[in-house]
Amino acid sequence: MSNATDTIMELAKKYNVDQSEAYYSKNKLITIRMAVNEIAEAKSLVTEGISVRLIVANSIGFASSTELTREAFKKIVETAYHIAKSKKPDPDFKSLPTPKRVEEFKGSFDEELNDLEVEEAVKYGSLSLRAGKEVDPKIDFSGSINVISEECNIVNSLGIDASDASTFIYSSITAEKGEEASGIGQTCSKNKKDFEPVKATRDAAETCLKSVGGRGIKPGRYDVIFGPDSCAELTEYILSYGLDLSAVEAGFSYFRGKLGGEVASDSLTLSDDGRHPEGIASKKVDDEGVPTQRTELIKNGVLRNFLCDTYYSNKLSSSVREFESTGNGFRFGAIPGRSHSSVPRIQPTNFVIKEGRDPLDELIENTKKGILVGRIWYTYPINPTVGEFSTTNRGNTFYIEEGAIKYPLLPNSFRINDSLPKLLKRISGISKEATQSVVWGGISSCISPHIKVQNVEVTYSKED
Amino acid sequence: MFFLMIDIIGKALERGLKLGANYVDVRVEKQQSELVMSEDGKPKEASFSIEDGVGARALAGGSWGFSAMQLKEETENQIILRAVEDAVKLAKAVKNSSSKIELAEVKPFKDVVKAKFKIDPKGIALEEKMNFCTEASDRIIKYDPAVKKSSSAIVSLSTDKTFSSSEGAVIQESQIVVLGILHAQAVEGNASEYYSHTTGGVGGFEALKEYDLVEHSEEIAEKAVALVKAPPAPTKKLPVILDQEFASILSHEILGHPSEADRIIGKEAAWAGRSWWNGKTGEKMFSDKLTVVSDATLGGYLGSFKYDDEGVPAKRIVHIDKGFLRGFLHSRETAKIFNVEPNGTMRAMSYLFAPLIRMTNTYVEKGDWKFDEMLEGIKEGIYLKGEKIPSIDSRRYNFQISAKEAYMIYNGELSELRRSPTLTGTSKEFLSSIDAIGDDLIIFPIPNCGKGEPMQTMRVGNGGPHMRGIGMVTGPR
Repeated sequence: MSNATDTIMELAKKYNVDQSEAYYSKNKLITIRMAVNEIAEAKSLVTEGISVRLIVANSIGFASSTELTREAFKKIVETAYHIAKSKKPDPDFKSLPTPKRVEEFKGSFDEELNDLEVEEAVKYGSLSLRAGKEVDPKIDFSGSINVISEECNIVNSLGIDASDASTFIYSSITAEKGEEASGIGQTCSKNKKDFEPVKATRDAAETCLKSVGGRGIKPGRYDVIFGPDSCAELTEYILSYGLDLSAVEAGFSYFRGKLGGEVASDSLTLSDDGRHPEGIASKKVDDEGVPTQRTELIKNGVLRNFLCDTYYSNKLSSSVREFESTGNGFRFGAIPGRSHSSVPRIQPTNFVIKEGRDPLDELIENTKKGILVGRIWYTYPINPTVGEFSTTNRGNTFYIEEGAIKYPLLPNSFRINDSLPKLLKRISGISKEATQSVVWGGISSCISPHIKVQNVEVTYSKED
Repeated sequence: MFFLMIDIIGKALERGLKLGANYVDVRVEKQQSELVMSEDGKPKEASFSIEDGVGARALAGGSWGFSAMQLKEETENQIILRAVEDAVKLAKAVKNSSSKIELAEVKPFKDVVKAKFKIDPKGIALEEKMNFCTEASDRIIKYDPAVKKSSSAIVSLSTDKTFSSSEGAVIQESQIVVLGILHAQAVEGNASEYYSHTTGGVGGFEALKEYDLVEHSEEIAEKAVALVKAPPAPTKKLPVILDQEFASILSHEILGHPSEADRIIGKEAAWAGRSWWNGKTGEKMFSDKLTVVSDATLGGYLGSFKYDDEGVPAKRIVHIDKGFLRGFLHSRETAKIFNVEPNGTMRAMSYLFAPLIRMTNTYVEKGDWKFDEMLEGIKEGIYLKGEKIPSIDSRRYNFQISAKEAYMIYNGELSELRRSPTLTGTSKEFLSSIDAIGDDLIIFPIPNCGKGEPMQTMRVGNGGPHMRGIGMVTGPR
């Protein structure tokens, strides 16, 4: 939709501005929502819109609209100019980004997925539910399939002119057998041909069946092996906060002042990879037109970098430390995907935790008294500035004793309370196989192996 | 213009029925929002946004279909028609084998509900709003060297919504929302604490005349600085008194959410979760001091409105009556299943989303205790103030909620400030321990309640009076 952004840039020239930027986005979303063995609803939406950022003497004005008429364009340019003129300058704003060479990134957009008809998505849902019932008709299956297609065009007065399009499909299924057993399965893909609609349901059914006969657990400290789903929750909701340069600047990040220091066990290497071939959040450029990249955040336990956008990398760069945008300036709105309706903010893409050397079985074998945690729930920071968090087990959780899984644990039967910065230093093993997970309401993905942490605080909460 | 729109929607609804739907409804919305934000005494962001679109919902063959798209002026009639056609197509594509959705009957209302406000936020110049925010964040950052970050923001939102259904309902409801936010971050050594306050609700800029951001800014800074210098909260089972703001998050997380009927029947099983209240209607659940209601008819709070997004009038709903479970929040669909009347709680975040059962203004009813009376007789206890961050299990049974601040209570008197307290427990045990409810109810704005797939964040009101019980308090690790 370069016509819209070109028109905005033309209209902006009529005003006395120092810099200008036009941004267009279009999203298509299909959601098939399943509840207790039935497709509860099929939903589709299309949203597109345009926004403009105008800079007048270091003051930024922003306005957006879903109306794509010349009249609406005139109105938002005039409004953005008025806002910029009305404000006092922001001395921390240095510049919009300048053009960088953007390497092609193939595989982020799939025509077939973009054109997927809703009937076919419904068929995926039916297949998925049927596959679950074939495993065990007494299990209840709920979940959703989401098909997302996003496109954008960004033009700025410093020479950026970038377009990008990406697609992905993901399914998340919860399997429940009464209140005693719960399992989860997820599957996702950037293209239609690799999507396996029945995989999530079969995995959910399998983990649910393994969880039947769950018991409670005594409070105390245990070695906990976090599975990929729970690592995704902890990374998305707790760790990403510490790695955000704007949170560092605000004094929120528990990693403030730790750059170059040891923040985790030397077995942990974590990156944000906006160009991971299988990462569902992979894109060619961010929403400022800066190319995405692989950014090593923690290498062998040492904090190497933060997630940056243009504003904060400019603001925090000094003679001591130079920051550069890591291509993480994204605009997200009410629905998953890019959105014209907000200014860019720092957001992760695909977190990738480097695999270790041990098979999962070996991690279990080396555990004297521990818990294998599949899915956790409502993982929230108690105090985000120090990285303390609290979460409960939602399913697929097992008690380990003397190197073997002894029995499943009841869903919602315990709570893990700990400090993430301390937990990172107590990592004692990382498995050699990684899986991609997406959390509810999440906008990034996490590709993670199983991670074993020693001495994690568990409190008892089983229903009396 | 309004009548032209009604005519266009009417034709689209007819088309939906002709295509085989049993029921169709359409929401046409125009939303304008403005955000003004300042950080550290400097203007940070000002933005303005217009959203204009249609969401159509169709029930066909016992299944729901929903389609949303944006309106473009010259082709509005085609877009509304296409949204309805798509919704019917989606519903028909589902073809469920067993359960067929049916709707409880409601009277199709025709009404025009104008926004209630004293001062239109559009009438306040952007410069003036930015000056408020800049002055407020400047006072916070300059309050003490321990304050490392400050921010202040004003959000205003105006929505004009036209709801029409194939049963004959035609409701136009307009609403204005204004929120003001203050935030202070203090850092000292390894300790880092924040204090924030959100004010406002449904109504105009008068909310920010009553609670002046600039006047209150230094209180926020003072709190953050005091907290970062305070000793940690203890880890101990203690008599606790909760203030009204802590009661608001408690009423939201462990009283409001489990009262949603879609959780009861498993419609949120994979995402927001289920409810441990399932099958317990009529049972004694909690202390007989506890009465919990939802009431969207109260004016001015963030969960206030006249009609929900199914055209059902707002009501006062009793969930817990003197400790007994009485009723849930219902849609037309769940009301049919439970054989009760729908109670007007279906709301969508915007035209882009299908409506869901939502809290309205959900709160603990006031009692007759004075705060000083609650303190009496406590040898050692703790007063938890303000809500910070909750973590609740998927059935809303066990919970952990952090408070902004805590004061020790010794021999019936408030004592020193402590930082980073959390209250942990099970709903059953903690809410059964409540032995005193204050006479000082306050309802707070909660602007971001997450539910659904794709997730929608909804504006609700939550609150309560001071409450006293016994709970497990934990300090920082």
